[in-house]
Order: sequence, then structure tokens, then C-alpha cells
Amino acid sequence: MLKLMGAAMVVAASGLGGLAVAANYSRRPRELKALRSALQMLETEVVYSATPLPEALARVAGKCDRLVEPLFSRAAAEFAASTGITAADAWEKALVHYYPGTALKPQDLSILRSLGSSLGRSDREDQVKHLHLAMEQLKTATAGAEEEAARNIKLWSYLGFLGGLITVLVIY
Amino acid sequence: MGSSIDLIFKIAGVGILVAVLNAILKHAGKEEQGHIVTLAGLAIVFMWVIQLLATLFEQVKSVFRLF
Repeated sequence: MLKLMGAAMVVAASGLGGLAVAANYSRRPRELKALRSALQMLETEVVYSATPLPEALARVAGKCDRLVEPLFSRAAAEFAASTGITAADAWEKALVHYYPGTALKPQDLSILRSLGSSLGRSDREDQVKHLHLAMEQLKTATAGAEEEAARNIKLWSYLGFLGGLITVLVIY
Repeated sequence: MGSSIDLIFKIAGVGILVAVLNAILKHAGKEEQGHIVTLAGLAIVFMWVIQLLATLFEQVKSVFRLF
């Protein structure tokens, strides 16, 4: 009886581990898409309503998907917290806070970093160019992430349970 | 006798699970990992079987007094 319970626990643990990995794979494309649409909103704010950057970030935070909301609200909060902070610094601080809780990869982080270094630095046209560049890169990353997700989600959700079953069988 | 029947069932279980894992890995385009899994399954089963073979040889030795 005790043995059966232990076996069930091993299978459940490794199965849930596999499902967690699979969930991570399915999360990355969604986050990339949400980031892209949030940047689209930011572009609208910058170009059409010429909102100052802290306010624009706060507004985007209010409107965008909740997956990326922490990034923008944090950046706006960094602006509000200290006077004289540059947009690049605020963005960087927000990224450092936001990144560990996401399924994003280092290359996605570097896209956002390079956007931050040009944020709020030059005139509108130039900013729009940088936003477009980042959006294009995010689009490419999304395509790659979706392909990866399609291959790996099924694999990992089976792999966890089967790995657990084999472990049980070997040590039973 | 009972323990060796259990062993046969265990070996069958490993065989089934390895076959399923192999199919999934192949479907996901990871043939190399599939081969590794097959080899690992084979090694596990050999470990069990070789223990039985060792007891068989011991018995043969003791029956024919080959000490």
C-alpha cells in the first residue's frame, strides 16, 4: 500500500514537472505577441497623441495584456520614483524586475534591451524607427517560438508521465 | 518462481514504455534522444537479466559440483 502511494507520488511529481515545462513552452509565444501589441500601443501613444514617455508607459500598462503589464507599469513607476532618471535606466530596471518571472529567452531580453537604450532619446520619427525594429524582431522571435512550442509541448507533457512510470518500474 | 514472473512483467513494462517514448521523441524530431532512451532501456533490462543468469550459473556449478 505504502509502495503504491509512493509510486503514485513519483508519477504525479514527474508528470507535473513535464507539464510545467510544456506550459513554459506555450507561454513564450503568447508573451512575445503581447509585447509586440504593447509596443504597437506605445507607438500610437508616441506618434498620434505625443504623450510624454512616463505617461505613455503608464497608459500602455493600463491597456495591454496582463502578461506584459508588469513591465510597463514598473517602468512608469521607476520614472515616478526618482527624478532625473533616464528612460533607458527606467526601462532597464523594469526589465531586470520583469524578466525572471517570464518564459522569455535571453535573445528576447536583448531585443527589449536594445529598444530601451534608444527609448526617449531622440525625436519622434527616430523612436518610431526603433519601435518598428523591435517589433519586427519580436515577430521573427514569435514565429520561432511558435514552431518550437508546437514541437515541444506534446513531447514534454508525455515525457514527464512516461519518465515517472519508468522510474517507478525500475525501482519497484 | 513468483519473482521471475514479476521480472518478466517488469521487462514487458519497460519495453512498452520505451517504445512509446521512442515514438514520441521521433515525432518531435529528436531521433538521437530516442536512440539514447532505447539504449537506456536495454541496459536496465540487461542489468536485471544478468543477475538471473548469474544465479543460473551458480546453480549449474553447485549441481555439477564444479568448485
